[in-house]
Amino acid sequence: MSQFSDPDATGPMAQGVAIFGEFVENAQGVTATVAVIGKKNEPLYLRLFDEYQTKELYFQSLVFVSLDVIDECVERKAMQQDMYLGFLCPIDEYQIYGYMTNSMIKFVVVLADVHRLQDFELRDFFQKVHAAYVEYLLNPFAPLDGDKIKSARFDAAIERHVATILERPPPAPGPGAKA
Amino acid sequence: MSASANARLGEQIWQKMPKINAEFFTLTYGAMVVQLMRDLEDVQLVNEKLEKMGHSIGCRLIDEFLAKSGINNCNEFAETADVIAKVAFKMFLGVSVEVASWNDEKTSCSLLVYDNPLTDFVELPPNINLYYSNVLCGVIRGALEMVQLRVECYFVRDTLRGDDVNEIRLELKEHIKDEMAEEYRRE
Repeated sequence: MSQFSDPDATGPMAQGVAIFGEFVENAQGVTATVAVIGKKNEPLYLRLFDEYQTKELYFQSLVFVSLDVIDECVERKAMQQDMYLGFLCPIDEYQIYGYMTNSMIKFVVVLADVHRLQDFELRDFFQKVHAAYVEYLLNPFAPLDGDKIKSARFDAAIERHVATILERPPPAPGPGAKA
Repeated sequence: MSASANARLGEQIWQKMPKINAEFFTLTYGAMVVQLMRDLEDVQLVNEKLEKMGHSIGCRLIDEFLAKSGINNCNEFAETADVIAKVAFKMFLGVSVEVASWNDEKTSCSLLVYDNPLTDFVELPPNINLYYSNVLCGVIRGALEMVQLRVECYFVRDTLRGDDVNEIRLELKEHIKDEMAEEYRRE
């Protein structure tokens, strides 16, 4: 399951728990995580928004946990047309929200409790991320077979949209990153 | 014909031209380029192939262009460049192009394409020497060859490679002599 982690890691859960201990002190450290999950539940994209990107495994496990909830959600909401799944579950001091397209691509956002966002803000955010993903797929060079998303433009779009919901200035664009 | 008149003419013809969906057009071209990359496996070959394809398109397109635009002979190369930029690009791609940086002899100039519809959505893989829109160079070369102008045409700057504008350099090499026609005239 943990395709993000390197094979030498001792296992995502073990690390996740270990990280958890120190994590409580740094509750402000990571404020948001955006993940894109493919059709077969393969991770396509995981992006942490924090000062130091050390908690990747922990957030990865949060995202994977949420996939089960998404499955349940989908069964429950099978009759509905809405792609926005809404609030999925709380884990520790985070809240997880989900969105699934009709082509079974899932977008998952993990937000720290301190950000009390309205439903419509998240709905709007997910729609923007979806649009960015569509634009990424329209690039003829983008791989179709479930490869990781590697695109400066997609990165920049995610940064921009996350910055709007978190209401803080986007980080300085790296080399090659263009709006 | 003055520059602004050409721009007006381009606008007029653009109104009359049949249009296709921009995304369809862009994706079709993108799929073609990617397929070429897969088939030829060498980026340099892909660049050449795109140019060659453009050349064939240009050879055909020039008649369509002359028929629909009603443009007569240009007196000098500067006029030709302006017609390409203001009328031809507008007519076929719906974008306006600027002519800039003439050399002293007025035989070479740059076409500045600010908005290239071929490259919407496109993001090149890193470190690749592909001139994605090279087909445009071929079209210009092919079309001008049909009106007795041998030109060289190549990309200097490309927004896909991080430049701020697309710049196509257009260099006039020679006027092709119309020898066949003279022979027929003597008979």
